[in-house]
Amino acid sequence: MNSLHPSIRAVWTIRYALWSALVFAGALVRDVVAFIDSSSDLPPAGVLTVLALLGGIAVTVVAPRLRYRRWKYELRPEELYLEQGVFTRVRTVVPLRRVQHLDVSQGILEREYELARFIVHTAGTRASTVLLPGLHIDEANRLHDTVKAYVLEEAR
Amino acid sequence: MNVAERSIESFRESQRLHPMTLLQRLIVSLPGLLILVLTARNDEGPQQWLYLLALGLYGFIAIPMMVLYYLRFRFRISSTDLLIDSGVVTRRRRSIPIERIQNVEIQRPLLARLSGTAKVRVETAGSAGAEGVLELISLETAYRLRDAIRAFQRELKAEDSRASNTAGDVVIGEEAEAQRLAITEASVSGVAPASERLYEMGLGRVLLSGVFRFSLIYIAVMFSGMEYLNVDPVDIFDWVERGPLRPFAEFAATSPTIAILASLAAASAVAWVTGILVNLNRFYRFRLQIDQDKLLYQHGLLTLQEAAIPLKRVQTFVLRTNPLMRRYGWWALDVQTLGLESSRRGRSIIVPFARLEEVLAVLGRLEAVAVPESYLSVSRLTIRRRFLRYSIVLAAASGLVWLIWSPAAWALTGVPVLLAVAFAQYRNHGYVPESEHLFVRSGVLRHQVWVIPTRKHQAFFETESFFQRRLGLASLHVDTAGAPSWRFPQVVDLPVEVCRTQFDALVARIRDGRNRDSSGTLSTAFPEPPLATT
Repeated sequence: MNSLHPSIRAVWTIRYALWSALVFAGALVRDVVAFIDSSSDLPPAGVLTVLALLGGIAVTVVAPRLRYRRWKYELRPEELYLEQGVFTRVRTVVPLRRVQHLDVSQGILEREYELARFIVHTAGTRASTVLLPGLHIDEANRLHDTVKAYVLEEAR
Repeated sequence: MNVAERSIESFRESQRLHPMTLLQRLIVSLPGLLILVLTARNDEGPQQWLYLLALGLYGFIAIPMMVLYYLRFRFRISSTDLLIDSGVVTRRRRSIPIERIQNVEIQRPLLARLSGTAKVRVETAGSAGAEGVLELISLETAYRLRDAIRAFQRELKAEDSRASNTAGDVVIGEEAEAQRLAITEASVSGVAPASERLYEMGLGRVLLSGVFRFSLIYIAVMFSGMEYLNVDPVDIFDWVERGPLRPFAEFAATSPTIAILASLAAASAVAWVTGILVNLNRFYRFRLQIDQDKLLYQHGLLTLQEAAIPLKRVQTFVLRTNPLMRRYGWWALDVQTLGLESSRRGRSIIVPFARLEEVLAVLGRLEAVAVPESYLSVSRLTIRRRFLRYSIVLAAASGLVWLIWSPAAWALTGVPVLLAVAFAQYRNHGYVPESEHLFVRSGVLRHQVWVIPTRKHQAFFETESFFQRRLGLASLHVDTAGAPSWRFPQVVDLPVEVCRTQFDALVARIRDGRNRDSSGTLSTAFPEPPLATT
């Protein structure tokens, strides 16, 4: 069973930091307004900002590590196996026979770290898109080629 | 030149809709006019200039738009596509590749039946797929168009098999084609095509099925309708009082509680009768037929519905009932299909109401399967988990309301009911894994049995939520094409080791290759691009 590429933690950390900053900014605006116009009700000015700051830091530090620890994958001879989830754990098996098409895609952040996502599409509903993030680009391409070879062989 | 080619040929030239379309559009627009006029009536009474504005908008904009719409609308069949040009302000050319067309549905609303026309819906696979609606064209053109599309598709199929199969198969294919052409000719000349009848409902049974279809929606609609028209229920009583119901009305007037109960009872009775009538309108003369590899059904009183479902598009069968129907042995059968019209959420009712053995007979005709009598249970711990979960939700919700309205705390007396619900859900939940099919049943008020052929299994999920892990439980979900995004078949709260075993067994069934046919979904994906549209 394989883990993701360790750099994905950095990508996730940056992403969580950006979201946290957004929430923090929202809370800050609200508190500044509440401070000037003191007639508004609960909670008192400052509380939300502090909560957003502390919560944001906690999530940014902890979440990427936990997610990284829980993510496992394996390309078996006849199926793709994924395991993930911090609170709700999900194990997914996609039989390669059922694969309709494949993608390898990269976001801006992922490109910086030479990472990529491997995406498998089936005719299913929940499994119409099955995502495996945080692979080194070479590994993603290797998976893509292997699965594609299998599907082409099967279609014959 | 054979019949098929002739029927395609007649659609090469672009065609207009039937002139009846104009009248149909006019009638459809009347509710809009009503809304315009009603908005013009404000609190200070009617204002003349607003009425004039409303009528002006209607006369100078809406009506010319209808005429222009009719004049602009054209459709034809090109060498590969069904082309539809439409639009007054925004012009649109829609091309629907004929090989992608899944279903040609011919609908006949009341007006269409009076004027010998029909509304045709052309459906393709894919939830967001292009969809063509021709409203209205003459009935004869509608049948000819449907036959032309079918003939076109048969030709494509025949070319395929000629390219890949042995000589022997081709001969059989041509024979079959000749046979089908004969059928096509027959149906054009008005004789019913030779197909096997699987199920039909007489008038008595349609009415009976309505009796079981009690819906609270009609009550809500009635009350909101009265609200809008400012009809006070008391006025209705006054009106009724003049009739033989007078003593009853007087009695009701003596106590407000009785008055409320009485109006609730009256509303329920009206809703019930409305439900029966709506049901009658929908399923009148329901007929299900099988024609080679297609399921055909038609039904309806005012609006006649006809549709065809290719059998290989069927992903899952669902037997459905509710406690009352189940008590008297009545069931319904749905099929979950890939693609078809998205508003139907991939579910089509193929048997609306029948005895269990009749439902099983239809099912047996479509799929080699025996529905089991007894099911494997999930862990009893599911009762505890569900009960806790519902209690937490109830406590949180009533707590929030309690902040503003203190009597909300009484909602907590409903906790024993939650226990009963959790227990009933446990009793109704079960599964049977067989090598060719997985059976899952669940639901109390809407009790369903899913029959999922192994060859249609697409992917497998095992989930353990935070609370499930505390109790050593896990849920198992088999994904299929066209499944709903909620209320999908799932085996909830198996002991975790049982779940693992079943999970691995399901995966292994795909691996052993006997169930390799995943088709009926999309054809082989790689050799050709998935969507070769224009």
